[in-house]
Amino acid sequence: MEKRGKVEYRQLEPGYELPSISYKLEPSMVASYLAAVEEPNSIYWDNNLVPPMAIAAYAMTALSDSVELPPGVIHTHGEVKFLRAVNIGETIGCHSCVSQKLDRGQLHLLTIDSSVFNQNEEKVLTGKTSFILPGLNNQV
Amino acid sequence: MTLPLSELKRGTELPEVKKRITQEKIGLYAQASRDLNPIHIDPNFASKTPLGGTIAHGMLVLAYVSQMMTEAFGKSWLASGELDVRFKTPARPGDVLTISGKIYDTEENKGQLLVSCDVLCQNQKGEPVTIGTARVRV
Repeated sequence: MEKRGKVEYRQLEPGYELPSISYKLEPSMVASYLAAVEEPNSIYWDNNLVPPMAIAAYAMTALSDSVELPPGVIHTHGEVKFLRAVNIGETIGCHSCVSQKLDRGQLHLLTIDSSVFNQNEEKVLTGKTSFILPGLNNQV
Repeated sequence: MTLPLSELKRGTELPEVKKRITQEKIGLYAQASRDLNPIHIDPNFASKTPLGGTIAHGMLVLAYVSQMMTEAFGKSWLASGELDVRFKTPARPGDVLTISGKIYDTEENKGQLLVSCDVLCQNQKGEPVTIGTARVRV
């Protein structure tokens, strides 16, 4: 995975593009994920497929890897669309941007839109995730 | 097992999934998903927040919802699923989650069936953890 420096929350504004990240979806990553979610369905190993929610989770690391967020961020809303199945061994690129940022008093809401492409530049997944951020008095 | 075509109609219930949340499972998911937010994995930190303790990742709960959809719709879900949910109540260590769903609409379009479902994750108290909809083309 590629890693770059972090930006601060106050630097974010709608339209801000987070640094893209990419992953090669190794069998060990898939194995760890399937174990963590206690997935009993053999469909993934039988068909060499990556669970799409794993891809959605990896895409969200664009946020945690690139933005200095206060501890305690929690999800309020999630949307995800799977556009094509992804095979183990493929390489995905995750592109995310800030679609909404609301700072009103103690209320801080952030919405991130994400798109994930495979190595052939085919879009495989889109997502939209909203968060509430606590304790930002010194950072906004 | 996937639902037979004859069952893809309004009112059909999806196969329930039950999961017990533990701190160990949350930790495993944190490592696998690379989301190490202390609200999930640091009981000492989490106890000092308004939440009063650690909570499971929202994406872990969504993974359970996706499990139910995969069980019901197989590869169709993996290639064409759509999920739209709101997080209502945090899932905490010790909770037993029940994920359920029901088909509320079907629509034929260009040789495919668009199946729309209500999906719900509740804790052992009957409180909604996540509530929303899912759609899949079969």
